[in-house]
Amino acid sequence: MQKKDLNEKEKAEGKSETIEEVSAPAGKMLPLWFWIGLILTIYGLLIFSTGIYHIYAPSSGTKLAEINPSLWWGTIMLLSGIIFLVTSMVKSKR
Amino acid sequence: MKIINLGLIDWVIIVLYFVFIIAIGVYVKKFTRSGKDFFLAGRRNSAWVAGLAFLSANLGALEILGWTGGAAKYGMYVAHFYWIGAIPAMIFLAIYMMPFYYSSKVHSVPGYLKLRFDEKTRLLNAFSFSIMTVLMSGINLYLMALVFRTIAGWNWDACMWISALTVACYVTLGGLISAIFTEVVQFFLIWFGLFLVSIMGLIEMRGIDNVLRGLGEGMGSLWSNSLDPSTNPMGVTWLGIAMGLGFVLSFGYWTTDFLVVQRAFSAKNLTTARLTPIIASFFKMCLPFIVVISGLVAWKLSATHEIEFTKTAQGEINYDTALPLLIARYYPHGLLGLGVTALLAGFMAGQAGNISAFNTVWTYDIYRAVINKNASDAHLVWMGRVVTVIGILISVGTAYWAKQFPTIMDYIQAIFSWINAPLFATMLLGMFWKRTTSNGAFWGLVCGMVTSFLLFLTFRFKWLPCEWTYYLTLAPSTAKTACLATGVFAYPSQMSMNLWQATWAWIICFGVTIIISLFGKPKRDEELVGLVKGLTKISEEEKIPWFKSPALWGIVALGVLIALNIYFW
Repeated sequence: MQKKDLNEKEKAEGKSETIEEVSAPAGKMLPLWFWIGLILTIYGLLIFSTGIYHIYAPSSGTKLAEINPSLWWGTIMLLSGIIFLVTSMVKSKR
Repeated sequence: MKIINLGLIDWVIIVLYFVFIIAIGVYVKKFTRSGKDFFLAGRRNSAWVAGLAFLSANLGALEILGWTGGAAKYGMYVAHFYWIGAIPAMIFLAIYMMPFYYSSKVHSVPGYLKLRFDEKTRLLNAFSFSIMTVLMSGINLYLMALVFRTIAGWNWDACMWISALTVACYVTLGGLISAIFTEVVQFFLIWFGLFLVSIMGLIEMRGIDNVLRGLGEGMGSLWSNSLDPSTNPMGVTWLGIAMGLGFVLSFGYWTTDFLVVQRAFSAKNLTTARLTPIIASFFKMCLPFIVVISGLVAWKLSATHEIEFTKTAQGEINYDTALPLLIARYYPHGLLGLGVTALLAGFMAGQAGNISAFNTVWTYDIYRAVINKNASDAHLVWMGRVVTVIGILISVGTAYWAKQFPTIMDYIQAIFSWINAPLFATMLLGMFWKRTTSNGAFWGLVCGMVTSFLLFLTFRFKWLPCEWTYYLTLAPSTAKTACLATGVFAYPSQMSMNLWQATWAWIICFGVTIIISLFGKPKRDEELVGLVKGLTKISEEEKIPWFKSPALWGIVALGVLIALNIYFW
């Protein structure tokens, strides 16, 4: 009742533009970093696999194919993804 | 001829992205219960999430493609748009403006205008912003279809509809939470998908020194050739860069454009909101390492005919194909899919950003302000969802319109400087000069917008005599002599016209607002608490440890900016 009065008072004063605290607690939402970790892990794994494939079938036809960018870039993505996944899961467990 | 040929694994990566972002939309929907959740992402984001979303809302694929091409054309000058053209404004927003925006607890920038001034100023801005955002979203969609048709041979209609419907789907489900999530995902995809291009370029060129050596005239420096506009490829003086870009355009965009500022509104407290633009500023400063290095590598490779830029329908060199050409050169299948997904994500996050800003301004600043003043929170969320779909449909309509008449794109892209450059003058006076009156702000804004619009037409259709154009743009004296001899004023570049158009609009708005305010009666001090400097107490700052202080990190960012400018002088 008291809150309602307050809102009405605010409206009368022209303050109804502001955010009203009606939001219920959001519950336990998986953190954004989990999703980042998930997509980086999936993509890292796919690209790393193409890097492995290029070792055995090295004719990708692109410049600098001999340094096999898929292999090391895929590894970097995969590791970054795993770090995000693990840290976000550890944090949300706490 | 298409530049990129996708394989099966590339398609798998692209399709996975669509599945992933729709899954995010479905997941966050159950956490989107109120207007605060839908329009402000619950106001519980950390500085990192809000900061990366703040940067990503601006980091569209068009910008990356365009400025990589720009670097291949203009050289190092492009870095001005990432450094002086962004960082000072972002720090100013964080340190000086955010306390008023955040503490006033408004939903939007027009919402602030209502509290500080009055309803008519809010409505003027809300309408112009809404129109600008849906039109820009449409242009974004059109250019996306154009880019993917050019580089990968994709079907125009399928490309537009699939991406528009996907964006409509996840923004309708989760509102700003979905938009922010996908923006941060896009941030990582852009770095992982496109930074490798620069790395591969540097490996092929054997180091940065070889990239910078032997560039075209004036391409390798930032300031040393800015004294005379005829000696730099963009045709702009240091004053044009510092005033037009570094002050008016940049402050106009970063401090008042609700599309980016909305991300900081989603932060969990004032300190977090103030750290949002500062965190973004560090990543903004890093972007030239993708954009400028790739552009310069493309220039060097095209100079030795290792790559050939495609031509536009008018037979001009299409520098915008620089990045796709390098992707095709270095990326085998798999990585190719990742590079294309990064561009696709950039386009779609840009659309989602526009639409989520549009649905907020429409719902709170037009619908609730004029049409349904007593709408409940649940009704407003429903309205936000409905208007998201309508906004997307208008965007698709705009995209088809642009496809039919490509010249309308120039007008739509110019709307930005009609609206934002003068708005920055209004905000500055509103926040820092308590004497500013509502009528002063409204008429100043109207005069600034009209000035900008008229100058746009004047420059475009060459209405003014030589002397006037010369004085209005501080053009080189040779341009004036040539103009008097031939009767035709040769503009240095479209960019220099934009910078001067914005500068004049700002000056007129600033001047008119002050003059009218001096003759009017200002609001009482009690009405301006929390909205104006000098009347707002910021107590939260005292509780944070020194190493989390926004002011400290603002100074660090400024130091890095100065060091970069000196190094690449």
